Amino acid sequence: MLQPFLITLRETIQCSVVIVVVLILPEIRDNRGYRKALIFGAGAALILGVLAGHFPSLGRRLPAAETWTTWRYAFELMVFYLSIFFAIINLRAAPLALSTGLFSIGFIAFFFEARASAFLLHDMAVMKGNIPAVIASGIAGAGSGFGVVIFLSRFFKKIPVHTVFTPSSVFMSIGALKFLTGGVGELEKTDILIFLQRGIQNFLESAVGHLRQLLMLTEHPFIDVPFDGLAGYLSEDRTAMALMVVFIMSPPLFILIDLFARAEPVVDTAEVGAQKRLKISFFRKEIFLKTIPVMAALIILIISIHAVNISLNPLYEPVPRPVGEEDGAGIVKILFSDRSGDITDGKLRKYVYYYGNKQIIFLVILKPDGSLGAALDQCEICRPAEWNKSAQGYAQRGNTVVCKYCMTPIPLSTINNPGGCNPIPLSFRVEEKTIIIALGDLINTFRAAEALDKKGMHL
Amino acid sequence: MIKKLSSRWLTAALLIAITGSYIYFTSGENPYERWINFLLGTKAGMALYAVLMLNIFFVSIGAAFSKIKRTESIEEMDTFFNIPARKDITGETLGEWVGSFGFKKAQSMNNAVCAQKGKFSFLPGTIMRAGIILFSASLLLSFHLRKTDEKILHEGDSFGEGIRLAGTEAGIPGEFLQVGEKSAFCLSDVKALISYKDKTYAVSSGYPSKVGGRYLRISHLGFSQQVIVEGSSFRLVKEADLDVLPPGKTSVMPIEQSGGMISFTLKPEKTITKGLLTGKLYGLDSPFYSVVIQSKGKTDYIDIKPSESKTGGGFKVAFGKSSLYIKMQSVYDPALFFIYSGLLVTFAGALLMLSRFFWYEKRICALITGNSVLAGYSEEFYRKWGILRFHKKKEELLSCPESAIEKADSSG
Repeated sequence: MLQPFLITLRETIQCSVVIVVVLILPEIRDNRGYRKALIFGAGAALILGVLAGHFPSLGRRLPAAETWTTWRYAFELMVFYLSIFFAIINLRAAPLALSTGLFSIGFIAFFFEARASAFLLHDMAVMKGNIPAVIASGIAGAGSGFGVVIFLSRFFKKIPVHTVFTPSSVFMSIGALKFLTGGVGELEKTDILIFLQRGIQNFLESAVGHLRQLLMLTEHPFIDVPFDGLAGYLSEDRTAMALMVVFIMSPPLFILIDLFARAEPVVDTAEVGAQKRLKISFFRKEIFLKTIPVMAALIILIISIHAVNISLNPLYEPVPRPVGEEDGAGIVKILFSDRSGDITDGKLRKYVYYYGNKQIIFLVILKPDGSLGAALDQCEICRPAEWNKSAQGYAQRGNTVVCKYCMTPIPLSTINNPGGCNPIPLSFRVEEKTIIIALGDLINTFRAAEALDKKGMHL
Repeated sequence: MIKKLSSRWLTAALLIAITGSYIYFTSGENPYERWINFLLGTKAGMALYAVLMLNIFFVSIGAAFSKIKRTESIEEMDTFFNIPARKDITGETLGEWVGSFGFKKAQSMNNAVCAQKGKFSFLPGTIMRAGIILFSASLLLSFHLRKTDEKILHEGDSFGEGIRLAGTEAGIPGEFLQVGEKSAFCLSDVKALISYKDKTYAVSSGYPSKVGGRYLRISHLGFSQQVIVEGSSFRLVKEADLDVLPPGKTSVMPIEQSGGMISFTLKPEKTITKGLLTGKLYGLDSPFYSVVIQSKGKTDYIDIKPSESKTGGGFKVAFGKSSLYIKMQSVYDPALFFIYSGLLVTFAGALLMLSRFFWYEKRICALITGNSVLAGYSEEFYRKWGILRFHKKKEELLSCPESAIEKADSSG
């Protein structure tokens, strides 16, 4: 019964922290109407979310889980972009807008997590065959979560949060935190940024295809069509990634520009120069403090984007297969086809030859022009220190090999070319579907590479 | 009403509504297609779309009007000051002071000087918005009016009203060497000569050409081959349009009489293997076909060239002359020209928008009232630094210590 308790405890704390941070702002804390709007939103979300998730008869009439996830992402993005809205408008002049915004925040903070948690608990209860115990455990977890947050909020009130947060940076920070922690992890595995990138890519592919149809310039498998290259570029995942980064970075950058573009205070009425300087210094300190949540959100977003990039473009690094000298002939033979597959599949292959107490690791790969490339699994430039030897070598990512130390992508077509970040080339020949490398060449090339280490050329 | 229609909040709300409608459709199959059908095909969607176009139009009008016909008092500008002036200050010195901000053409009236820079800086945005409106309106028209047709044509064939295919220039090489499995076969420009009303037009596989009120474009080409197949119980004579390009592709023709089928694939004249690399040389002047005939449970393989006849496995296959066929796409769309124009104008406007980093509106106004000078300054962008600079330069007009200054700063 620990699992339901922990799930609801975790989700309640995550959602409640959002409410507490908003309530600490003086504009909200000191206005009964705003407080009510926020708490009513949260309350309505809890009730509706639990009803939607826990009761199968109701759940069957409602959309599928993927649709809920889509709308959760949409609302989290809406909260994130509301930060721009609140950076532009004067809050005192738009109480209705602020009340509506606060109700939405309270609702969005709780609704999707409440629905997902109730759904998960219902499933657990049915599987364990003990509905009352699971529900009681879940309620206890939620209650404990609220208790923890109410206890901690007493300390939050002592922190001068209002000197750091503005309403726009609160919305932006909530949005960024929801990107990181939103959803119930046991049910939803995808990241909002991956979803956003894929969505943008699907949209771009469809839009470009539609535009080409409209302009009567549809693509063709073997006839050149104008703007083929541009259309292909716009439909690529890199373009979608770039647009996703622009979308996600716009609110924090907008708020930063808004903060730094604020005119400095007028100091002409001050009698003494020191008073003028003090006034300007306070102003600049205030601006600096207000940039803290924005910078923190930027760091969260950069880390999230980097994680998304890694997950969408993972590095492939095979385990080196041992090879030995062929029957005292002074050569090493690599067959085109073996247990790991056929070399024509385009995947990177690594091999290790044991030279005394040293390992000579080398790689073989099929290049785009159909020829083969063989090289040492190290380059002349990136010579990591002894304690960081695991960062040496290459991994494959799509149509490139990537130096694991400096993360430079190297096109497959340049393998066997010396210099730069290319792996140190090996000479080889091909006979009857076998790659033959002279052992002497392999060892001499390895020794020359080792000599670079001794010269102190490591980074 | 016009003020509401030109509101940028309305633009934001409409864009959010349109984005929200797309997100709604992502829950099903083909979201983009369904979204376009909603936006351009349903009343609600078209209303949303039309209001957005109207909004963009009035935003442009508002932007132009506000820059050309602006009337505001000095106190309403981004910042202003009212300070005791030096006794020697005149309208001319005031004009020089205004000029020191970089304003070259100042309007002077007695003891008042006003100047404006970047009056027409609204133009790049207006051009871009005009392009967007033109493109959007054409898109809507095209959705409702476009009629598309596609037809396979051989030399001498007619289609439409008096349009005839007079000839084809495909630029197919006599030989093609394919290295590896992936085909690199590529034709750069395929042309067809169309005769219409005693005139000859060149229609290509690139941009569409307008002929007789319709837009024509070559969308595909292949080999057309006269095929005679004789079996024990049937004789098939057909002008087969074979979709066998790029080399390696298979085209299938059904044999209606026996319920079987014949497949055609271009066969290389020579195959060269060097190490891992395999090269296949295809003769395209007189293509060599690998034909597979399947009929009543029997399969036979025949390699045959045009004008040849071969027998095998109970079938007799004869090939006549080989020629080319093209697939002609014919579109009736009065809005197509405006779609292209709209895109070009939008692109031009977007490029011109880069000038807005340094081409933007600045206004200054200064007035000598008795012993004091009332001066105001406004800047469209980089306001903070403009205001700082303005207040730094006011020292040149001062006659008294700062304790005598009376100023209200209305900067945003």
